[in-house]
Amino acid sequence: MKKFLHITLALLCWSTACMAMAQEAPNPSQGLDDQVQSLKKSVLELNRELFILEEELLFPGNTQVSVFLSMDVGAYFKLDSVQLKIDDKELSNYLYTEREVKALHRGGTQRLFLGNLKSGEHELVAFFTGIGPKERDYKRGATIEFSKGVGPKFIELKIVDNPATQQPDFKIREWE
Amino acid sequence: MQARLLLLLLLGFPILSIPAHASSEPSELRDLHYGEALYQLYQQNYFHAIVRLLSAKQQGHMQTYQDEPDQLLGGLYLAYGMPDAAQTLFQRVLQRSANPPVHDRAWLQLAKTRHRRGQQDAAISAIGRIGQDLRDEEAEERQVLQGLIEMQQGRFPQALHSLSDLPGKSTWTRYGMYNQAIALLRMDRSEDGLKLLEEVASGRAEDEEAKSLRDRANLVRGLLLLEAKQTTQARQALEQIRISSLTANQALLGVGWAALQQNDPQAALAPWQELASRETQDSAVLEVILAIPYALSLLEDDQQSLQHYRLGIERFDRELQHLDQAISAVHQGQLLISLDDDPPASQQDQHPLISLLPLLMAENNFQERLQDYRDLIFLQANLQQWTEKIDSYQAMLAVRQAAYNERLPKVREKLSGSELHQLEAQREQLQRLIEQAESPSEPLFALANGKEKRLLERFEKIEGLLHELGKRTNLRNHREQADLLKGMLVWNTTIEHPIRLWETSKQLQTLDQVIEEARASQTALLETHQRTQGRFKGFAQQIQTLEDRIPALLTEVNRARLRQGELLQQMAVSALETRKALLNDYLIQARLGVASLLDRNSRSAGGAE
Repeated sequence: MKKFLHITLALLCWSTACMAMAQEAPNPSQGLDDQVQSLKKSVLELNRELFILEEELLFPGNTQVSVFLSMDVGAYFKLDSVQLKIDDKELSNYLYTEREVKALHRGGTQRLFLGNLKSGEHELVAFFTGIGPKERDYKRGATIEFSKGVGPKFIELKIVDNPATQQPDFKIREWE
Repeated sequence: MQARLLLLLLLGFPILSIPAHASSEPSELRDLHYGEALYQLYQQNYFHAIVRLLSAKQQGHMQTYQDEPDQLLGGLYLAYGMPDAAQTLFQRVLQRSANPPVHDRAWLQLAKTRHRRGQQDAAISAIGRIGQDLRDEEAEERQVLQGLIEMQQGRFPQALHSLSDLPGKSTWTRYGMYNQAIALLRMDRSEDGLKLLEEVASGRAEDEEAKSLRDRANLVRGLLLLEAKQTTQARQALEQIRISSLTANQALLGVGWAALQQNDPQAALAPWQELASRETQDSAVLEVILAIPYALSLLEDDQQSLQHYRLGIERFDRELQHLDQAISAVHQGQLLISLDDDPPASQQDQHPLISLLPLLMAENNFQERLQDYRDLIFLQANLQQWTEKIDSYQAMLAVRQAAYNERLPKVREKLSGSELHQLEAQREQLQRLIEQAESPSEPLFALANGKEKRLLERFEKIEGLLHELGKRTNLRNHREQADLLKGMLVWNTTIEHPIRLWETSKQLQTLDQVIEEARASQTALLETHQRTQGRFKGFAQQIQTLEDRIPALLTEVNRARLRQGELLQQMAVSALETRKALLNDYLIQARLGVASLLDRNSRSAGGAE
């Protein structure tokens, strides 16, 4: 039994130290570790170049439109889905996982749509579906008319809490 | 994976601090791209988060963001198992920034990076460079990190000093207190250590992490009290551990030993039988297989004891067989298949290794190696996807080029300038007309309209006729009439001349403007044409260059994945062999138990005779 106690205690002490901070002792396979790190770096850099190339090729600046979704607090609204229409054409109908909603709550911004639009006047309509105050089903729409110029267009859909009405507000903001 | 999650926890502070910046008004466009990287990060998609940040930086979306993107990127590199890249980045931040909080945060990150790379002295040196400008939680994290490194270096008194006076009630403080207790125990100050462990164990625990730490504190405390023969308190501590926790098996075993210490073998049987029904991967379960017949023998129930020893022998034999199969499966490369995130459903049951994975995961370094292995599989899939995509981009570019080439004759015609030449000729004509109209030689009829010109021609004919006929007849009246009418024509033309000259000059100005616009349009067209040609060429070159890089990288990734896989196999075989040795040891003990019981029975039977 004494042996059991000593082993367990030794394990506990060490494993907690490991648990608190990841511990890495020098190891004989350092060369492989370095190679893996270097490969990760190369593939990341390649992905950066390809990501930019893809964007420039498929969505050139003069026609590019991006729609982002962000959330500020979100205590009055639990997001389930967002439907996005531009000029009455449905472009996205996105269903959120719990993980994605959490990421939005923590300050992340999702790029909901990336596409092309001609220069000129357009109308964007977004429908937000989820659970609202008092656990009731909740669906609201928000609209914006915007002008697409020669540069890329960025539009942000923002769900914010309105403490005065104890309701969520759905705001749309455009960036040039 | 657990190590990775814990690493995220470590990174948590700088990451958690970010939403505060993001929500501050007025927010700017850059927030969208930064927020997009955060969105990926918060879902633990480190790879995508890094790509988003790198791309946004390259596209110039983060020029005014100062050091935050680099700090976030460094944290991401660390979480994604790239401590070297993280270190380089933090050092760059340190060189660039003169802002004390940024400096302090970068030194803290650098300390964590060095610690992760096993450079403990360098990590301590980085901690020493941190000033007074960390936020509260960061300061706690620094203290805990310093204490941990000192503990790993065996410098327990220093660790105790570093971990003292943790001010807050954060996760860091709880870990700090726990490690402080461990340091005290390692310094043979058991009483102080136990007191601190009791404090940790009785603290509020709202989340799973805090509950796990509380369980762990209770376990260490319970086992230490058990060793100190303070059995009642030991049992109390052990019984507070949640039955579903990771430490529940050791707790159940400990509760049984405590009962035994209280000379109550019967009471030990209940927790031990619960433990014996659990999976044998845990060494506590193996131990209890022997402990149960031991308790039964103390209860002098030799029959039951013998039966349990025999059941134990069967179980150890089965387990050894299972291990042999597992070792053989590892040699056949089955481990790597079972380690895939999603092994084919048909193969899942076939892997004797699946049930042994938790055992392997508990091995030092195995999890990190496994994470690297899975990262390499991801990189492989990523490169394969790009290979397919880039082929389609090449095809798309070719289609676009062909469509442009179809429109090229029209473009060329525009560029040839034939319309412009016509306009320039018109202008020259107009200019000549004005010059003629302004010259003193023939100013009058230069700007005459068609009717006037026709009338003038008629007058000239009439004058000629009058001249010829005048020799023969008296045509005075006719001549006077013709002179009068011509005079009227001259008069009208003379009156109209300045107006017409002004209008013609205006026409010339308008034509000049049209020519100017046509020239600008031609220049723009030429530029667009050249740019388009350049873009096509640029895209084609870019695609080609990137496409060329993929196969070489893919080969390297494949090679590294194979090497990493071999290493994992070696580690697995080594862990399984160690397990076999342990099981053999238990098997011998079980057989000895059987022999001893049989011996006792035969002796008691002999005595009875």
